[in-house]
Amino acid sequence: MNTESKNTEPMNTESRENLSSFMDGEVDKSAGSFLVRRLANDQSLRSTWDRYHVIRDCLRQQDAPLVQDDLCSRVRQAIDLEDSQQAPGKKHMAWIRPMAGAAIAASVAMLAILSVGPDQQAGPEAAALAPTLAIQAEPFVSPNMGNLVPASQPVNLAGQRVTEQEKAKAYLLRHYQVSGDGARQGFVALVPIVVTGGSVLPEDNPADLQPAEDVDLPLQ
Amino acid sequence: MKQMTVRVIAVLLFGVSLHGWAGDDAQIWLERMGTAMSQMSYQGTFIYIADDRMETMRITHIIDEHGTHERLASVSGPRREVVRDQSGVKWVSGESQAVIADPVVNWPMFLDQSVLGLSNHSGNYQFKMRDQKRIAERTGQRLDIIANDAYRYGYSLWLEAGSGLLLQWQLNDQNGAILAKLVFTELKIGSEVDKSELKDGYSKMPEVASGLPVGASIPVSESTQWQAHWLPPGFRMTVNRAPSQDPGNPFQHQVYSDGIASVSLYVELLEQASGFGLGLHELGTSHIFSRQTHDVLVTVVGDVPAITVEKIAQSVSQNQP
Repeated sequence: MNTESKNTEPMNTESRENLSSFMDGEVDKSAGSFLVRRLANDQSLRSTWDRYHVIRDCLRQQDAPLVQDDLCSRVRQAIDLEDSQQAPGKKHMAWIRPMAGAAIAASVAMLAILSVGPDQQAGPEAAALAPTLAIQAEPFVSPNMGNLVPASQPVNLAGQRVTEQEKAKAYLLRHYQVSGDGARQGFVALVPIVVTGGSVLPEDNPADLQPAEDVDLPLQ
Repeated sequence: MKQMTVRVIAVLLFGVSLHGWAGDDAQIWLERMGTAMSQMSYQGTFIYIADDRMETMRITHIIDEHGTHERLASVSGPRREVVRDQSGVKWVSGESQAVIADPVVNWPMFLDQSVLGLSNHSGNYQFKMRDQKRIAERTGQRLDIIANDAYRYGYSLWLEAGSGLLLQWQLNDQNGAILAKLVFTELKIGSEVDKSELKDGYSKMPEVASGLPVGASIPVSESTQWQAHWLPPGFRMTVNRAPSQDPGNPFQHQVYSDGIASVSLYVELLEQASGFGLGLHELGTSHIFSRQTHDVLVTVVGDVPAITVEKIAQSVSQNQP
């Protein structure tokens, strides 16, 4: 008999705080044992636990640095900023102190993304981290690169007019259907189609460009 | 039901043969992934990070006696989802957008082994097995696919040890830096999958056709009116389609692939291809290059670097009759 909980109720703030403390090694043995039992039986809690690890990995750059404006270093900077704005009585933030669980963690990450423009340089902290990260990331450089750059400057279709995006997606979806990429990589080929869908420019008012909403909750 | 049974047997036989052959061989892992991703039922939540965005998404992929059903949806923000089944692909991009539909054209249920085999011999990639790690409560075997030149991307894949299903995916540029990353935080397989999640949120909304002709398949060896005259090393034409009912329509759709990466070349009458600008565009990790020549619009798309779509598109010309 499968005893695993099918509980899909949203976790409360206390549960998330406990989980965060557990990750930080700040709970006593009995509370830790209780959380381990809950993790074994609560799918929702386990999923949140995994999300925390993914975000923490990003913060710690455990796999490899994300290119594209050094996302993770900006996540770190945003968390540092968040930390510095906390009340003086706050103890510390070991990796992240979620006020409302993973949603806030994601929001912090998003704040980092939105608060630094793509042309801005990563801060000195990121530069200082670079040698360490390079070792952690397992160098992964193709052997015969050269300096091949396109003659044209690409226009990012996220934020372009609806018809432009829809036409581009029609090309891409037909490509995935016919090429076999859909069979090879499965749904992964479709993810960019969904991701870029939230930031189209309305046809009737091109000035109404709004940034895409990517995260669960705005950072309060 | 018979079709379903045949598929299940095929997957089982394929899986058995893989385990019995060389479980740590990178190419076999890649083929296992393709088979698992298309032939197994799975459902999960994943985080996707790319291009200044981080999103949580939900995938439901079900194989049953009626075929394949798939729904990919954003968990937060504006409603965005893609639904695929035997009738084709539909997608919606936000609350106020129409449902766009593209009929099924040629959705391969099994991998084209001849295409996959290209990567074994062409020397365009290096395959490296790396350490395992635990992802979404499962053991993931890492496989790095390293491109040997700047005309294609590399990948890092973490595949579920038992099934070959994808647990983590990374797209790497020519310098080895990560362009996009996808990580599952929860994954169900087989009977654990909740079919009710297949229900989309826009089934009653009016649909709009994608606007691309369906066309019919033509042998790749057959001479075509328009053709790319430059391709990256290892690429060759794998699909060739054109409208069979309208010989006066120059529409062509060709796919060129090296076995891992692929690009599509579209040739359309300029007047029928309205709504898309000329030049180089990017959509997520995909690149698109369009140019006008004579009275047609030449467009090349794919998950490849910008230089690749640009060079291919610039090489397209009309063959002499």
